[in-house]
Amino acid sequence: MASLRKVDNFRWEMPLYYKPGMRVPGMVYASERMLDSILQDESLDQVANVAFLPGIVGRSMAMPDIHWGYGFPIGGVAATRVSDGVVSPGGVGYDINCGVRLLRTDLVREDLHGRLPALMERLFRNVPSGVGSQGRLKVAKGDIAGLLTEGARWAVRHGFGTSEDLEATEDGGELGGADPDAVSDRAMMRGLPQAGSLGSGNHFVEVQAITDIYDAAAASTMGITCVGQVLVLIHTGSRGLGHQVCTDYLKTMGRAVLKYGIALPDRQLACAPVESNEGRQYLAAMRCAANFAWCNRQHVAHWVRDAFQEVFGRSWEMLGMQQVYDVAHNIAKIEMHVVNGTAVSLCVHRKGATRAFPPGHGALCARYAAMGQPVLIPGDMGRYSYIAVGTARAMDETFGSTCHGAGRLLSRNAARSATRGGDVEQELRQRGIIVRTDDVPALAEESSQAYKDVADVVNVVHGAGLCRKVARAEPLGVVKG
Amino acid sequence: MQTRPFRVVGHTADIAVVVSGDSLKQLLENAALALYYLTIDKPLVGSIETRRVEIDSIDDAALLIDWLNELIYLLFVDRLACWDFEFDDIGDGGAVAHCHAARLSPDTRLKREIKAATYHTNLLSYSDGGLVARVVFDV
Repeated sequence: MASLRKVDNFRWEMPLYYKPGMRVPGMVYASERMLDSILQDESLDQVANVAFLPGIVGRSMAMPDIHWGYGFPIGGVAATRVSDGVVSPGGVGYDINCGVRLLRTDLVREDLHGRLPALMERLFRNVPSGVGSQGRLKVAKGDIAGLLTEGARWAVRHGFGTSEDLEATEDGGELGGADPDAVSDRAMMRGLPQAGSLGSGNHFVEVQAITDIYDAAAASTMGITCVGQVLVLIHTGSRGLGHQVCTDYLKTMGRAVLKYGIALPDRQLACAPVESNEGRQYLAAMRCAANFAWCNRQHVAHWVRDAFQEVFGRSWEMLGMQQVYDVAHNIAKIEMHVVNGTAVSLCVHRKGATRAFPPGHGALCARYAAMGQPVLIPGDMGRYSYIAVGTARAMDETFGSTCHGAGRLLSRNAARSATRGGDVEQELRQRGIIVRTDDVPALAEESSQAYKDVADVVNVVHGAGLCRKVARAEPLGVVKG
Repeated sequence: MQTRPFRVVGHTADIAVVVSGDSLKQLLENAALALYYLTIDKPLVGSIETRRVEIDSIDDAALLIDWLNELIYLLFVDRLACWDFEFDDIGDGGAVAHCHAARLSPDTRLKREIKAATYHTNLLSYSDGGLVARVVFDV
């Protein structure tokens, strides 16, 4: 297998001859040091495999949080022409529209003194979490179509949040073209009881405090004004509904690959032409799952605000708990991009990657039009997370995409072998970080040593110009799913 | 001591198992054992019921994954863990099975959420000794 060619300190090109059959080259964003760990698993081979997709344009890309997934690597970005390209459910993943939402507050770290344990307890009780957690939201049969087509707006219409929240959400929290008829009864059965829940694994609600501000003007536009300011980061997705939509359509796509004579090096890349019946049906169902996820995060945010109100005895408005932004990091979108000087309609797959649109992009709300899109990059629960902003360079180079998080370093088994969940909890407590979870042993899988240092990841995308660092926050308390 | 007919192997993001069986039927049964090993840590106690599962896949490798995804659905939605299987028909990507299952009590906690079993290349291989499959579960 041929090796990568170093372009600069942040870019490694994968030539076409890396694997015969690639339609476009690959591009891996990483530092030289990070590349050593990337080479330890099969993720680079997955970057090459994605380059086989019919209609792919530009490059098959991997962000620096790349790690071994299935089909696409986690941290993968690929765009295919709508006119003659394909859409691949494996390029989105099972947790459709897994994403993060950030709330600001007027509180500072000192305001939590003596109240943090009660706050974390209240958050833990307010937001259902854990394996197979059932949501607090009861959706009547007649409301299902509305929820799946309106997404976060459905939640706001039912009293969970405000129109300002929708403005501060990617796509307004509502992807058009969602068709509930494309979602199977099984997906409904699996997902609807979980509406309004966090789930398990790496999902969380995290109370944070700002440690560094790198760009005061952009931070101020986001309502972030000082070191020590308290924020809340929410990470969850479309729960069982998204999982089942992906399962259902991978089966459909397996047959479509035979029907359309598509040659692929990996079955998990199963796909169909974007404009085929199979492709359109998948996108219609995927959009329902994406809307379900935005509705889910809208509800979780509401219950987070409730928890703060109960603990601080003031309304969430008085506490200044406005939404900074909400981003999807597992999704496929039809977007216009310039390819070889011509505007082309593309299906942009972001699997473990975040949209990072630049200043002036029409998709941004008025508040962020001059600044660019806020980008939220969570790290592990023992270190820090970043807030960044989208750039023109990302638009030119990565179809407006950047990284999505730290990226795993150790397998779950290796992480459990390296440490015990109880020890992780104790160590975090000694550092003043309170963790609330139903599953202490599972904390080992989410320990800091299981993840890359998100600072390394962010320094690469910042250095490569794919987004610009604005601020950094560290965890004070975490509710783990 | 009886050895398990599967072993858990490393995978950075998810969980992978290597499962073997003398026949396709045994492979499906052993893959089910691997699934329950990863998700349930208590002996199954609960009301017993039988579910008929019918799968029509494009080949035997896809059958294995579709079979596991069927069992994942039964486990996480209907809270049924299957402990015995009678196959009416199996092969060429298809299977019809009667699955005898225990319904998990409401207070039974599952060890982890599994979103799905995933497809990949070289999933299933045949040898003189039977079949071997490497399955990656998305968790």
